[in-house]
Amino acid sequence: MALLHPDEMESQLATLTEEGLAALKVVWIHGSVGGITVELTQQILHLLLNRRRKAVMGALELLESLGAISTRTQNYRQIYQIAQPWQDPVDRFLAATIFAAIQPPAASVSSLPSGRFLLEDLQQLLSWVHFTKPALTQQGQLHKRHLTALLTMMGCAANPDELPGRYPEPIGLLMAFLLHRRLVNRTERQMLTGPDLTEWLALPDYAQRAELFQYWVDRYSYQDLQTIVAVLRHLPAGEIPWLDLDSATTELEPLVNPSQRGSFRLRLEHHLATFLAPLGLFELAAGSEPGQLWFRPTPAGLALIREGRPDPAAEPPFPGFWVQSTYEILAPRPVPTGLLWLLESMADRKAETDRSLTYGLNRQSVYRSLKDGQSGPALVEFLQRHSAAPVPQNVLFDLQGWTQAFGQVSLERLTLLRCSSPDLALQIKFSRRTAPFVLGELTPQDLVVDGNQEAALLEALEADGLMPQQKGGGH
Amino acid sequence: MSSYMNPLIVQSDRTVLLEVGNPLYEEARDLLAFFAELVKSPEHIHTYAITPLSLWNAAAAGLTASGVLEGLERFAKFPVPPALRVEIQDLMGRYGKVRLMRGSDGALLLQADDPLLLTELWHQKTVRPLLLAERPDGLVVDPGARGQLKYAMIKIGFPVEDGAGYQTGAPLPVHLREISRGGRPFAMRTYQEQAVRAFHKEGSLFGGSGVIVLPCGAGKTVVGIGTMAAVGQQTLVLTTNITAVRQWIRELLDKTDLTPDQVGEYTGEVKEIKPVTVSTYQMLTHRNAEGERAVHLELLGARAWGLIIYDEVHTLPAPIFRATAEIQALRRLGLTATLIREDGRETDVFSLIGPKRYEVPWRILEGAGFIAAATCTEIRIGLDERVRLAYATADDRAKVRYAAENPAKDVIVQAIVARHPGEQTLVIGQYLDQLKRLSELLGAPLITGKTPEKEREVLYAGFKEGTIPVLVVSKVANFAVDLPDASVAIQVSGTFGSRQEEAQRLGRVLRPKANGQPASFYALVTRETRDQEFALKRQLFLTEQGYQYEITHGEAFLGGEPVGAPAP
Repeated sequence: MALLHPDEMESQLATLTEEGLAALKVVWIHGSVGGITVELTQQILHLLLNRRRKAVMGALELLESLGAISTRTQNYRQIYQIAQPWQDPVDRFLAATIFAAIQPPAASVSSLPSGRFLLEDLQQLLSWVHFTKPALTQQGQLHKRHLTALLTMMGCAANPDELPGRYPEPIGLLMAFLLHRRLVNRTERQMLTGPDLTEWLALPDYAQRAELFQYWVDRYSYQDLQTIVAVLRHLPAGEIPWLDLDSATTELEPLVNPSQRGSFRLRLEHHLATFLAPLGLFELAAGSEPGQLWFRPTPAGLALIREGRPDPAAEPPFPGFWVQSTYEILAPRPVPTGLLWLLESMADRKAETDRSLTYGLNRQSVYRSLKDGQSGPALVEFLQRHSAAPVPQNVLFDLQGWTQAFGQVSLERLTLLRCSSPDLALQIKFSRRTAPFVLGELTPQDLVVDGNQEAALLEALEADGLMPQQKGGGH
Repeated sequence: MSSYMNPLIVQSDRTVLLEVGNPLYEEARDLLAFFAELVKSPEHIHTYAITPLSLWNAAAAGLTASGVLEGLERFAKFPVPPALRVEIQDLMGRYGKVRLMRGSDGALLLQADDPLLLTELWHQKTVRPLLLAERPDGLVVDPGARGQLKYAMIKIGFPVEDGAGYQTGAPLPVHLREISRGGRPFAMRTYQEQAVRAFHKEGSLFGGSGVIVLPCGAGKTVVGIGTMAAVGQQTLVLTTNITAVRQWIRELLDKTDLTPDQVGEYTGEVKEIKPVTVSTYQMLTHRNAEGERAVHLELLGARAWGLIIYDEVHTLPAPIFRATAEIQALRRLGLTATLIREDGRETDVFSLIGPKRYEVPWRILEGAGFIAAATCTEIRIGLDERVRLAYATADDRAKVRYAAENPAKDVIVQAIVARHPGEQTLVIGQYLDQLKRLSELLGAPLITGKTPEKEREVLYAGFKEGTIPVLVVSKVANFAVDLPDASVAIQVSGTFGSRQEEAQRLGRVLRPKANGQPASFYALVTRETRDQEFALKRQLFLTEQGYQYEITHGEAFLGGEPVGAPAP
């Protein structure tokens, strides 16, 4: 076998027969997702080439004789692979062939906004768990009332009575991810936010998106879905073209595992619409003909698919939200998840459309946030920093008033120290040992002492020669 | 084409968000005014709704679906949602599909280009009872059911283009004066002329009915008078109360060549029917006894009216709607500051009075100096020590009143009056005890519902002339009182949840001032009580309209002097 120049390799590829081309595509596509056994290759080609065994064998032999494919042994099985020197020319050649077949003719497109933003949904779900602390059944499922509330909040029309013990998508994926990533924990009775929450909230959106995408890849590891992702790695540089879903099905379905045929289009459409577009990795559009669906990766999606890691520069810019004197906060979507966490904490979600979220600030919502550990100045600073325009005076005025009011009344743990006489009470009040524990008196015989220091007080009383008796089992 | 730098966010739920700070804001706003309703306009983002009615209003004005979509695409940050595109095309396509016309024999006919649509309507159960016959040139409509038919058609999603024309009323030439009877130069403003033209459509069959939307203080009465001049026929004006009736009459006599013997008042006190008659909705719907027909409703047919003007059409009561359904052959003009009705009967206004013909947002008029700029200040005051205990132990209902009447407000009212020397000031409130107290404290006359009409007129006149600098008024001043020289309003108490009340009260000070000075509106609120909660509800409408409230504590307003319970 002589070494060929890459240009010569591409000339050779251009002369391949239909059978040879089909065989090359099968090996190439599966090579991107871990390789394909000799037996499966033959099986796929057998179906593809109308059971012409001779043609199948001939095509594979031809490719081997050219040096374009070779075999390696893995787990005692022979695996076909694209021979290393041929990899780049084959990538270029087949990507051009396949994209030419699945790219629709240029026409004006009507893009279909997904209306969902999976990272926002994830954040909303986290907030909900954090503030609701939903109850669980003995089987570890959400109680019906919480499940109903969750479905309503996520805009799912499913009837909780008819759910077969699992969540409808995309809640299923999100919930599984939250548990897997330890953002949510299940105790015996409750669902609570988990130990990795703080670390997660500090991640930028692109990193969160990359993790969720990888989880999708691992969870839905159908080879056929991954083949389309693998093919997209080779999209030529330049403007990202629209691809026609029907043509992609025609072109790619015959090349996948025969056991997964038949539902390729349906599943691809489902995954594009339910996960990948809402995750901001793909765009969908109505084709020029009725019923046609076009798709393409977004710059962020392409970066993730091509490089296997996110590209921070491909993130859509967030212009900031608008705080209005109606006490409304209007945020254009998608809202960065770090901001969303605080918004969900300090304001009530009032409206949600495909392009914006509207929150209402009020005394109760701010109180909720303060109880959760936020500070008043931090809330004010957050609004001012992320608002695209100055925060109205009336909103700042009230926000400051509400946060100042926090803690003006507090619950303290106190213990009543009842004395047999006013004289004894006086003695305790003025004793050097016991006086520090006394916070006040209710009656001349009843003193109020710090309930958190009972043990120390008992010791002090004993040291003063008194013999206190504990009644009422503590507090 | 859509671009992130553009000012509009067009959403699938048919709302449109407009970014005020965007350089293309004004162009986009002017475009939206044609086919979308302004829902709220706070300082940063305005919200518009594209509704079937707004689209039909646009279609009635001659706009096409492709024009609407091109405009949206031009100013949108993101592509217009495909479902919305389809909806706009579908809804606008319906306008004009069905028309009311006169047949060659004078019959009232429902016509459509699509014969199948007519067949469908002939069998439609809510429309069928209003039809008399099926003919080759259309469906014959019961002449007495013209309004009902339009109403029924809009309910099934087919707005009717009414080209059946109007009955000719008795002629009445009306000419506008160049110098008013009061001796001041008078001419209609450009937007008022445009409003009249948009309504009248040079007398064509497709004009003559509809609504003009102008903000408080923009001169809706003048538009009504201009329309009367354009139509030139005898006119019935219906308005909200007797004070407004007299205001109309004064304006008519001041700004036109009509003489007192041509203009009549038809109220509980005077019952004159003249070529121009001004009455109230209450008068027309008044019944002597339960179940009895409204005795004065005959006024609608008492003369050969050529035009009926419905002032403050957003308050039009249901019986007037029913009566209006029967007089669709008359030209009808609705005047209002807002198409939003508290009872949600906007479709009734569209089908029975007519589509919106013209609207100018207040910000444009404020920018052009036609209405005064206003600063709104909410002053929060602690509860007076004298009533704190009573408040703490009172039930919820009494609490509202204690907080509203908080005596600690008095000193703030005095301070505000002192801060605006020489400015005409109104003190407006809900509770008579409080108003009496303030009236005595300020040495200012008090007008309540019990003040005789003549006494009111004298006091209003004194206030207008400037001999009375401060007037204390109860809620009687909420509607249609023209106090052109008021530049300060102090609201000391109000009702819960009424979106219109605060707007009406602010409207009292929005008329432009001769010296160009901005108006001041103060709302006094008792801190940390139900009063504060009520105030927030009342203000919502105005903040949604773009007025900003500055909030301050009473102590800060008085320069650190304590007032009521201390601020937190």
